[in-house]
Amino acid sequence: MWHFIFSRTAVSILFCLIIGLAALLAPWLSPKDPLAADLSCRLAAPCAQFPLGADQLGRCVLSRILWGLRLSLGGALAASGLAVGAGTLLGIGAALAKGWVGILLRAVIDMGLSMPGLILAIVFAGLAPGTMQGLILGLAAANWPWWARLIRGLALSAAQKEFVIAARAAGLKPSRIVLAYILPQFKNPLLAGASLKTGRIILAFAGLSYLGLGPPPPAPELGRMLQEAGIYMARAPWLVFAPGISITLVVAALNVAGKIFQGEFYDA
Amino acid sequence: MMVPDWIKRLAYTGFVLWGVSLCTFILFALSPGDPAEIILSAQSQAPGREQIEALRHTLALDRHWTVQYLFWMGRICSGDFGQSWQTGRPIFQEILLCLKPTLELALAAFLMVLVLSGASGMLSAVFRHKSVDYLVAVLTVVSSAMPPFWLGIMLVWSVSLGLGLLPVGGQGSAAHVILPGFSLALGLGLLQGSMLRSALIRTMEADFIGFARTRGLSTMKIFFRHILPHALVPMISLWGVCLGQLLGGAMIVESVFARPGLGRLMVQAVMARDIPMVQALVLFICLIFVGVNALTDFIHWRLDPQMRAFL
Repeated sequence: MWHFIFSRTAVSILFCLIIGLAALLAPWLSPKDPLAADLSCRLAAPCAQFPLGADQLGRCVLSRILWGLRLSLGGALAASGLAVGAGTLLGIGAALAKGWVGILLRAVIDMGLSMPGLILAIVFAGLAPGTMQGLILGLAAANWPWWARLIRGLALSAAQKEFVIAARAAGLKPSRIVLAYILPQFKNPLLAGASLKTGRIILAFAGLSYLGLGPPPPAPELGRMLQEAGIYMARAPWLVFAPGISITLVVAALNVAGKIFQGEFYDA
Repeated sequence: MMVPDWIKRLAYTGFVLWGVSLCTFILFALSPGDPAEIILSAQSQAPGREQIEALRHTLALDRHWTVQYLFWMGRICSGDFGQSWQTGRPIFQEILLCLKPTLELALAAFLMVLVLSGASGMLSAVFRHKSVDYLVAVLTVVSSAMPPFWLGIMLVWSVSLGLGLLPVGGQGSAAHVILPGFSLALGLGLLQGSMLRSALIRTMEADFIGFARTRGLSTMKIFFRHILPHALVPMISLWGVCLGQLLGGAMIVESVFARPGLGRLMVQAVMARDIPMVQALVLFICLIFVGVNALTDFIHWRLDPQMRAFL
């Protein structure tokens, strides 16, 4: 029991839970309204009233970060879910479909893989520039090829397993073979990939909104906050510290969780 | 009929690139938002109806999108990328102008990734389960979770503003690439280092290393002549993929350091619906990316006899 409590697994799960809860409960946890400006407290240093300081419009940085985590985590989870869904469908299709359909699906996956993810993300995010939906769409578009390739490889080897061949010989419907015999084999790689990739997506989310492709200005988005804080760096460095550190903590927690699912954090 | 493998592969790659260009075009042609209106609104306050119609006609936007695409294909095939709708300047020149800073940054970061991953991987494999190994592991977790552009901002704050050592931004000399390159390379380099570590450890436990040891070879010779080259082979394809990632990452980091590169060009073109510019940029970057991947596959194939046996 004690062994588990002090283990890396427990610590990282606890940490992920705390961050998730902080994001979920942001409306109740944040001391102030994240959008309420108070110009008399412009660039205030961290103090009792503003635990993490105030920004260039006198808004509470702590509240903005809590709400920002909500945006980042929500957006990243949505993009991750879309990418996993699309990738799984296309990957299984490319692995199992015969003839021209299979070749065409493989070509579609290769098209997605022939670009760095961030380029795909910028192109798709540009369809609805400066909105949350555009950014989520872009990040999903950037990540589905990776998932499709992973799932295709997994499905190819999963279809070779003896119990799948037996199920096919027993004359089960293809849909039932995929749902009951092939998909369950993907559980561990899916969990590991999902937490690692969600971390990457959070980084890309911040990066793209830093470039101005995310939700528009008053929204408390972490990347946008960093971009706005850049000019005040010399006078108010805490504006740059806090959002960056919070992104780093979230992504580190997700990365460690992913490594644990992968079961190779430390090869003994 | 025997068609050599590389011709098949080249044809398939061409097909994939063509598909990419078609998909990008359809995406932009069918999405809401009229490029002519966006261009004119950027130039004057409220463009009139006739003005928009006239521009739509000159840009051939009033034709069906299939016709537009065929026009574009025809021009590309004769080597003409056309003019940017935003600025009116030739696209090829604008891309070449912006390609240099981005490529410079990506290559500098790539070299740093090589050095970082080599150093951290070898150190942590040789001193496995010692304090150096744990220190590298912690550094890897932290640095690979940092947004590279934030690391860039922090480096500007501490090194440029605090110590007054390196330039805050801009481009031109080697000193200008150190900070952006390092902020791009740190996380990726240490992550690759942990891959190298496990490859090295796997090799150290292989039978042929035990045999080398019983032959009485020196530890140094065993490590540099037998273990390291063996462990480096699987790293080659990883490094190749990472060059593409760096190219994407450079587009964000360069904006921290005010470097006029592909990232700015791309975002502006996408926001303004500058379709010929977006098409050309996507095609260019795909070509670089696919070319690098093919090159690493080739090197891997030359170095690894097992892969040659497969083909």
